[in-house]
Formats: sequence, C-alpha cells, structure tokens
Amino acid sequence: MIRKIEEMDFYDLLNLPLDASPKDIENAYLLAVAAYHREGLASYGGLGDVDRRLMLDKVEEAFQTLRDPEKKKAYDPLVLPGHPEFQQRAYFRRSTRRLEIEDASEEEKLWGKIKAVLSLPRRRGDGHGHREHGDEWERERLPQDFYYYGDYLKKVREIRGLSREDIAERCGISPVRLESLEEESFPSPSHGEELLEGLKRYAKCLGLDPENGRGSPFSDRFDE
Amino acid sequence: MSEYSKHPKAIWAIGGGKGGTGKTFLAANLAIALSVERGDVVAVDADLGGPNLHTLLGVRENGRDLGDFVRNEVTRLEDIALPTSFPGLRLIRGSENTLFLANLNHYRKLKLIRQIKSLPTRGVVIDLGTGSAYNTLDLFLTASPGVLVVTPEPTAIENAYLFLKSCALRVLKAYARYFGIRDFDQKMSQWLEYPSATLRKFMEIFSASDGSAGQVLTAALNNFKVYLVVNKARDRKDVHLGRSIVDVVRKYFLIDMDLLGTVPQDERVHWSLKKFSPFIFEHPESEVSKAIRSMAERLSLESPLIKPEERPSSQA
Repeated sequence: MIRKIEEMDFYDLLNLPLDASPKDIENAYLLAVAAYHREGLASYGGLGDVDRRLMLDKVEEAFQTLRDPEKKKAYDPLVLPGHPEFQQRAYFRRSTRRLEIEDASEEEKLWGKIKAVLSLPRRRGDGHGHREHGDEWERERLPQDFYYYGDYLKKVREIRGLSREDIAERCGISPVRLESLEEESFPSPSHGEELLEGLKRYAKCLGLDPENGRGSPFSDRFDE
Repeated sequence: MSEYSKHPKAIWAIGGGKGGTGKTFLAANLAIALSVERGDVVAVDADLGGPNLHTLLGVRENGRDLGDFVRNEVTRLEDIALPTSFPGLRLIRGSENTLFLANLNHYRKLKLIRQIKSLPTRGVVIDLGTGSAYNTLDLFLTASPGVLVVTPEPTAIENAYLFLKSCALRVLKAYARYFGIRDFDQKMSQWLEYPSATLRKFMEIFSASDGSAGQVLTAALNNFKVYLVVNKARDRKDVHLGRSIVDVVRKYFLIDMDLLGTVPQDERVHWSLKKFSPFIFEHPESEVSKAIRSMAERLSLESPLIKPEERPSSQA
C-alpha cells in the first residue's frame, strides 16, 4: 500500500538516516526547501502548486521536530519500529519513553556503538533490500559541508511567510543588502568573505546554524 | 554456445526529452569509456529524427545504417556495425533518410529491439532522440538502466518529467495488460485529464480501489530503473539539483531513480565538436572526462561481466 506524503515519517521525508546529525538535518531541510519552493527548479513541471505547498509544510514540520532534541526524542520512538534497518532488540520503557539500552551507563556507550552499526552504509542489491525512498548508500553521499546559498535562504524566508523587511528588522541588515545577499550579487571573489559573513548572519536570523556554511561562494563554481 | 552468449549483456539508453541537453555528447563519450571498461561495446544511433552520433565519434565514412536494416536490405543488425577509431567500439549509424521514421512500424520496431538485445557484444549504448514518441520510449525501456540527461534549465527539467511520465504510463499499461487488470485504461484516461495530478496520487487512488493490482503496478514502477545525469553544471547548486530531482521522482513518480553523476560545463566541448574528435579523447584529464569515466565505471560494475572460467560447470 502506498503511503500518502502526509503519512511519511520525517526521516523518509528528508531522506535522512536515523542517526542524522544536526548538520545533516539542516542540510536536508535546505535541499528540500530549494527543491519544492515554487521557484524550485527541481520540481518545475513535475509538481503542481498544491503538492509543493503540502510538501513544504511537511518539510517545515519535520525540520522543526528533528532539530529540537526534546521533540526529536519524543518523536523517534514513534517511527523507529517502522524502519526496516532498525531491528529493535531492546525493551522500550513507557515510563521514561526511552529504550532500556539508552539508560545504560555512559561509560559503556552501548547506544553509540549500536547506532554506529545501524547506520553503516549499504548498497542496493546486497541482500538487505531497500526502502521506498532512497537507501542508506544514497544518504551516505549527502554532502557533509553545505554552503548557505543566498537563493536557498531566500526560499526559506519565503516559505515561512517572512518579508525582507521582517528579516531586516530582526537582524539589523538593510533590505537592500538582504537582496544582494539573496542574489549573491557581489562584484568579485575579493568580496567572498564579506558575502559569506553576511549569509551566516542571515542564516542565524532564520534559526539556522551559522557555522554550517563553508568557504567562499566563488570557490563553489566549477569554472573558477 | 558462442563466447558472447555466455556473457550477460548490458544495454544503456541515453534519453531525456529535450534537445540540446547533451544526450549524444554523453552517449558518444560514455560509449568510448565503456568500451575501455568492457572491451567490446556497440553504440547504436537511434535518434530517429536527426542522427549525428557518428559525427561525435569522428566517423566520417558513409556505410550501411539503421534504415537499411529497417527496409530489410540487411538481415542482421550486427552486419551494419561499423568499426570506429576506438578499439572495442563499433557504431550502428542512424538513418538520415526522411522515410526512416515512416518505415519504423510496430513490427519493425520489435525486430529492431529484439536484434539490439541479441547483438554479440558486451554492452550496447543507445543514443535516443528528443521527444516522447512511442518508438523512443520503447527503446529507452529496452535498456536496463536508462540514463536520463537534463541540463539545469526549466525547459529541460519540464521535458524530462514529461518523458518519465510517458515512460511510466507505458510501463503501467504493459503490466496492466499482462496481468489482466480491469478498468486500468479507463482510470488512467480519467487521471490524464488532470495534468497537475501526480502519478503517486493516481497510484494511491488506484490502490485504494484494487489493492492487489495496485501492488503489482507499484512494483512495476519501483523496478523501472533510471539514472539521472545533470549535464552542463556550473556550480554546486546544480549538483544539489540532481539530488533534488531524484527525490521528486522517487516520491511522486515512484520510479527507482539514482543520480549517476554531474558533468560540469566546459567551453572546450564546442571546439572538440569542430575537430570531429570525441571530448574524452581530446581532453582525457578534464573534469568532464573524469565524470564520464566515473559514470562508465559505475554502470559497468553494476552489469558485471562473468568470465567463462568463473561460471559453474554444467558437468558438475
């Protein structure tokens, strides 16, 4: 039976492994927003506005849940049994809403070891089968470093219904400068650092981790 | 049993819907890279509207072509495979005869597909033309996997989705007919009246009304393997674009798509064309050539050649 998009769990929705780091979660979120935004190239001609909006609402809900350690902790036990790679062998304590092994002493670090085994990359065709939306091998290849493209931040701002003026007021960046950050319209590579710092500040205003960005945007171009 | 019949043959078709995305460029250079990987590959120019794979492979001599085969002037497809200047690569030229398309009726198309499948070689690369005509779709579906080429432009992506949707419908219809699924054509026709409705939505509704048939058809889509190549990429956002298209296709078309690779934009492609020399040969150390070799390696690894001595003996 095909699940509706609304019924997909947040990990499948964002193509994330169960042990995704906060950086992975943020990267997957940005990628999804860039893809399903009404100006997103990736869904152009493939999806209508209604489907895009529905997906973006779910993506936002997924991000707001998985980025928050408390919400994530409450959410995970609800979906983990539905993941074939998660072979539950430990008792789940309703009282603490934790797995028994999570309560093990810190010295043993058993939970960490188990998570490391569970998240080993697997290739399709290795006898383990694959999930409906992307396998672990594919997920493993997601970039660990991610650059805050102005274009991506603009899309995040727009899907949250924020105007440039809203952001300008919140962050103390002028709307004109925000526009140039979103367009990445800085004149030359010598302005790369300035642009990156501006984008980090913008990202922080949107509640994203400012240290997630990397390098100069100019070094990202293949022909430079 | 001939040596080749012992080898499982791989067929890769390069398609994409829109013209100018670099399908023929990729087909020519992939064919060369694959011929290095596998030792014996045949490139088939099945661009039924405007064949020019021979130009990109630097083959300037005229000879027999697909038109001769379709007109029954040649019985076996392998007899029109021309040598190229690359060891291990032969070429079946496309027909420049304008009557070729008219001559490719259903029976002859099936004959062509059958003979492509039985070509005595270790790999076949099919270069397809633009558009989503049935002949093009059926040749794409012959391959396992098909390779879809897009450029980071809305028109190319829009046409790619149309191409995929047309392929998916062709697959679903074939399965529905084979398994005798009733009312499928009628439901499909109703769905097609709403162009914004996704294939996933259709399958959700169809599965709700007929669970077992829905399972069969969903499995058919899941087993339809397609690779995506983003060509003429200018920055890392275009690499992300490939991942995002794969995500849209898996979620909304239910097709098993993977990203095969991203080929960066390189102005030297234009000059290699003018020199009638394949790019991978002219600039072997360029990022473009590295990307194509990497794709060839992955495609070849996924369709391994089995040496006769490694096969279990029938006497055992």
